[in-house]
Order: sequence, then C-alpha cells, then structure tokens
Amino acid sequence: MKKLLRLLLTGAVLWIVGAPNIASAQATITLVNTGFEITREDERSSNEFPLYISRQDCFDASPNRFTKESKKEDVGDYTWIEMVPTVSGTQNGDYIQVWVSGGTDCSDAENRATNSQDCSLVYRSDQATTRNPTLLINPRDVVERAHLLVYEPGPAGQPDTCEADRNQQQIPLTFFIFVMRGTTIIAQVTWTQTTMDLLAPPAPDELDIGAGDESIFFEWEIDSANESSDTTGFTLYCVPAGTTSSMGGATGTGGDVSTGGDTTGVGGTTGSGGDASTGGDAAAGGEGGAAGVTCGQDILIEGEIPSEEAEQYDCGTATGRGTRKGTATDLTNYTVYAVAIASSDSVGNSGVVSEIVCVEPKEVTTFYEGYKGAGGKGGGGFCSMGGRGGSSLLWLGLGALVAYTVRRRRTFA
Amino acid sequence: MNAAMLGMSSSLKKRTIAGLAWGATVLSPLVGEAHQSDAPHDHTSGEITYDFERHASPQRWAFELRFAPYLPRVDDEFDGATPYQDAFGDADEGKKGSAFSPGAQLDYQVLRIPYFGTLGPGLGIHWFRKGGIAEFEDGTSGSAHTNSLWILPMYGVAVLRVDVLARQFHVPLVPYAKAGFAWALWESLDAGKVSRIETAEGTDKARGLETGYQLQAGVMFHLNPLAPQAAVNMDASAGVNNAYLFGELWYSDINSFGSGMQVGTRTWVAGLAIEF
Repeated sequence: MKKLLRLLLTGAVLWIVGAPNIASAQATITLVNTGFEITREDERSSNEFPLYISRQDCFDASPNRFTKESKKEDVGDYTWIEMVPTVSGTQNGDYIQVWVSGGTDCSDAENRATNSQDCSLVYRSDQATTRNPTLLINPRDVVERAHLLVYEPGPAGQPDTCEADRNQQQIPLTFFIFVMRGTTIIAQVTWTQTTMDLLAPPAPDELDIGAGDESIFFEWEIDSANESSDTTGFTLYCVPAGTTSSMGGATGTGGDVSTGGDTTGVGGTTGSGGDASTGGDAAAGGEGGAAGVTCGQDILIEGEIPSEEAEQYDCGTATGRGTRKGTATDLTNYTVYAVAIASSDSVGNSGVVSEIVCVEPKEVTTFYEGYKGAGGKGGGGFCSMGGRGGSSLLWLGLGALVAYTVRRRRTFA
Repeated sequence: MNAAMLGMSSSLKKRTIAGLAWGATVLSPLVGEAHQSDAPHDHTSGEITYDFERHASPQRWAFELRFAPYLPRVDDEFDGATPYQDAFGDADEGKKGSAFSPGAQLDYQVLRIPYFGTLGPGLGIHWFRKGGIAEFEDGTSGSAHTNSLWILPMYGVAVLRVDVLARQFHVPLVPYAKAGFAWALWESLDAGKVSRIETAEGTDKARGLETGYQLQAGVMFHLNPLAPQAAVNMDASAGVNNAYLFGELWYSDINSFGSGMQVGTRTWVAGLAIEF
C-alpha cells in the first residue's frame, strides 16, 4: 500500500512540474483547405479563383482595421478573410499571430522585426486556448500592408489603397499562422493558396461603335503587346448623355452632347464638391477633365476604372479573351448614349474605361419588316408550312405517301 | 441498316471522294496527258479515244458538286415592292443581292436506256446566306444593324442524262434534264436573333418551310477522253466510270404554291460530276 501511495505521489509531482513542458512540446496548429475562406456578398465560382484577393475584394472590405475583438457580426456585409485553424496543446497566455508576405519567410524573427513590406502582421489574438479559433482578416489590411500604401482615407489626392495598386502584377501571398508564447513561435502553419491580384486588364482600343434598333454594336481591338493573359471578358457601358454623377466631386465635363457624330470636348473645368445631403462626399472637387468625348455625362471617364455608379450602366458583356464584338440591347431609341468598354479578368478586376463614343440607337427597317409590310405571305415558323395555307404540308405528305407506296410495291415484287 | 447497306454506303463514299479527287486532278494536265504513249488507241483510226464499253465497271450512281450564284425570287411575290433587294441588294449595282451557293446532288441511275442514256431519281441540297444592313427608318445613314436571310433549298428530281453522244460517237458532251419536287427552309436574322414581328395574333417569326417544283437543264463535258489512262486507272481502282464538268440552268418555284415566301431561283450552276 505504501509503495502504491509513493508511486502516485511521485506521478503527481512529475505531472505538476512537467505538464507545461509537455504541453509546449505538443502544441500544434493545422489549417485544412476548408479552414480558409474569403466571404463576399457576391460569391465567386471555382473558375473565378475564390481564394484570390481581387481589387473588388479590397474595395468591398471594411474601411476600418479589424481588431482582435472583431467578430463576424461586426464586419457586416463587408468582404473578409476567415481562417479557422485547429489548435491544440496550448496554455493560458499563448496567442495567435497571422503574418503575410510575398514570399519572405516570416518565421524568421528578423524578418518580422521591422513589420516591413517583407512581413506584415495582419492579425493578433489574445488567447489561443480555443481549439478552433476564428481569425478574421481584413483584405484591405493585406493589400495595404503588402505594399506599404497609405491607409484610406489618405491625404487629398492620395489614391485609394485598392485603386493605387491597379498596375501591380499578381503577387502570390504566404500567410503564416503562428501560435506564440511570449515572443517564441511554438507552432505554425502556412497558407499559400492565395494570390493578390489587383491588376487591371488593359482597355480595348480601336473602338468601333455602330447604332441599330434599340441596340449598339461594339467592335474593338487590343494591342497584343498589352493584352493581359487572364482577361476573361469585357463589359459594355451605355450611359445616357447628360447623366451626371450623384456622388459629387466629379471630374469636369468635356464637350457638348452630340447627336450622332462624335464630339471632341475640351478639358472640363474643375468639378464642384458634391452635395452632402445627397450622399455625396463634400470633399474637394475633381480635377479638370481630360480632353475627349464625354457626351455630357460624367459617369464614365476614359482611362479610369469604372466606378460603382458606372456599374448601373452595364449594358452588356462579351465573354472570352479573344472576343472582339459585343452588342448592347434593350436601349431606348432616339437617346444619345455615351458608350465605352472595359476588360475584366478571371477574378473580376475591371480594367480602365476605353475611349468614349456618343451614339444614338434608332428604329430600323429589317428585311422581314419590309417583306411583311409589302404584304408578304411567308413566315410564322418552320411548322407554319408556307404561311397560312398549309399546302406545303399537303405536298410533303403526298411525297411521303408516294415514296412509301413505291417501296411497298418493290418489296412485294 | 444492314451490313450490305453499310458496305454500300462506305463504298459510295470512297468512290465519291476518289472520283472527285481524280476529276479535279485531271483538269490540270489536260493536254499533256492526252498525248501519253500508253493511252488506249482506236486501232482503226490511230487517234487517241476513250472506249466506254471496254473500260466500264458497273455504273449506278452520279454525284455532283454544284456552285451557283443564288438570287432568291422573294420580290416576285409583289407588284413593285422589292423588300429583298432593298435589304440585301447593292444600290450601286442596281440592287439584286445574289450570293454564292454551294450544293451537292446524288442520283441513283435506276434505268439505262440502250443507245440513249440513264434515268433515275436524284436528291440535292444547296446552301444560301445573304447578309445586309437594316437601314434607319428615318432615312439617315450609319446604321450598323445587321440582318440576314438564309435558305436551304432541297429537291427530289427525276434525272435524265443522255450519254449516247459520248458513248457511241465520241462527242464528249452529255446533255441532261431534271424535274421534280423542291422544298426549302428559310430564316431571317435580325442582329443575330430570329427576326420577329408582334401582331394582334401573336409573334410572327421570320422563318418558314416552303414547297414547290423545279426544272434544270444542262450539259456535261466528259473529262475521260482528256486523260484516258487516268480514267481507266480510276475505274479499276475506285470504280469511278466518268468525270464531267457541267453547266446548268436552274429554275425553281418554291413558294408553297402561292401561300408562302418565294425562295426559288432562276440561275445557272457550274460544277464537277462523277458517275460510279
């Protein structure tokens, strides 16, 4: 009995003294594919690289930094990155950090020391004692820190974080998820399936626009030297001439509205600040407009990425990198439209707006309208068989009957 | 389809391809080939000739590759109005609006009439498409609104080929005539979609099936005498008896006998034919 008691006592002492060390040795963290997700209002399909961070993800992210207290219900309708690793073997005081880099090894303390472009801290938790903690990361944080850009809102004239990066090439990211004890990494896992792709595909050029009946026909070219390999389609924009932005601070307008022919406008004057009561930002007015055609509208601006407002004037799409034609339909005849086109890529990044052309759809007389208008009797569908007469059906039936009879006679013969 | 028919179909295809290839080949070295020393000779006259009977394998079929400028007679339906020419004609060329139409025809030569020719049924098909710009209703220029009309004329005809001149008198001409039933599918597209008109009775789609009749007459120029040895070889290897170039006048009246759109034509056809 004494022996047994001594054994239990020794075991208890060993456990008390050694437990932290045992736990430390056994701390683990894993992250499976289903444990990483970018949650968006409009989900992207598997063809649209849902694990990539696009420019739209950046725009749709919360303008506020996430904190360690940020919860799903706090981030609302914004886009966010959610990681749910599986953690074990931790103890009180351990915490989780998420670092991101464009390839630098952030497990090296020296690379983390400066919190520089090489390695950026994008998440820190208080505790790491939960088995499956939910780590919320702001895509805008990732974009900003990956490029050391000024956080929005920046000084006047400073481009938006997401906007400024539109000429950056794709950057494959590595997320390092560390379980920390003090300043020591006691467990880690990396995630390398996410790429930051904010690159705007180039605008089509040599735009050739034609009008039709409630339709506008687009044809364009893209200089092969500028063509982006991940362009997947094109968006057509049709803004009624004279439409002005409700967002305020618009760029100055160009030339006058023209009916039919193109009008080359002169550079616009500085736009006035928007009316705060209408939701506009009463900040500084826009810059003077560039020389070019605007058709009296300020929604589409050549060389600029289409604004959120411009998306309301999306009047058609053309799918496929090699596509060079598109048609906008269901437009209003005898209304002048400012039309333009922008490329889009596999993650949904829009390119800049092409040149703008003014065009007016009008009613046309098609062949069939002319034919019927002249009293033509044909038409109505393949089954109508010669207009309303039905004699074709009779003749076809007669032919089939003759063929059948001949065949039967030959068989019996 | 039984095995015999499958075999026949395969053989037919093989012969047709081989024959057309030969027909096309024979046109280039016409003169040189005719003077080759190993060509068959008529020993009585000493001239190079082609003897049908000596080199003939059984002959049952004829196949034509056909090419025509097709001008549908849509405007014939009206007194004065010319909706077809208005839509598809070229004002600088006095309108019209014909388009190249390729086609094919296959005959089964059921009956050989001694010292005359062959008679049998034939089936043919052509393809026609014409595109144009639908002009603005207000008369201004600059419309880019496309519209088009396609027609698929088909026919079943009795074919009489009078080959007695070529077979008996070494005159390389084979006059022929065809007559029979014709039908055609057609459709008009408006900016890529089927044209349509909304009426009180509903939507009237611009497509239809018309029936009618047609007559054809032409003459075929026999190519075998120009390359007799090649002709013999082709017959021996692929069973192709004769090859021809032909020209034809084609008249068709396809408007469902007055109750539909007139999609028939009056035109000429040129092409290459083989018998096998």
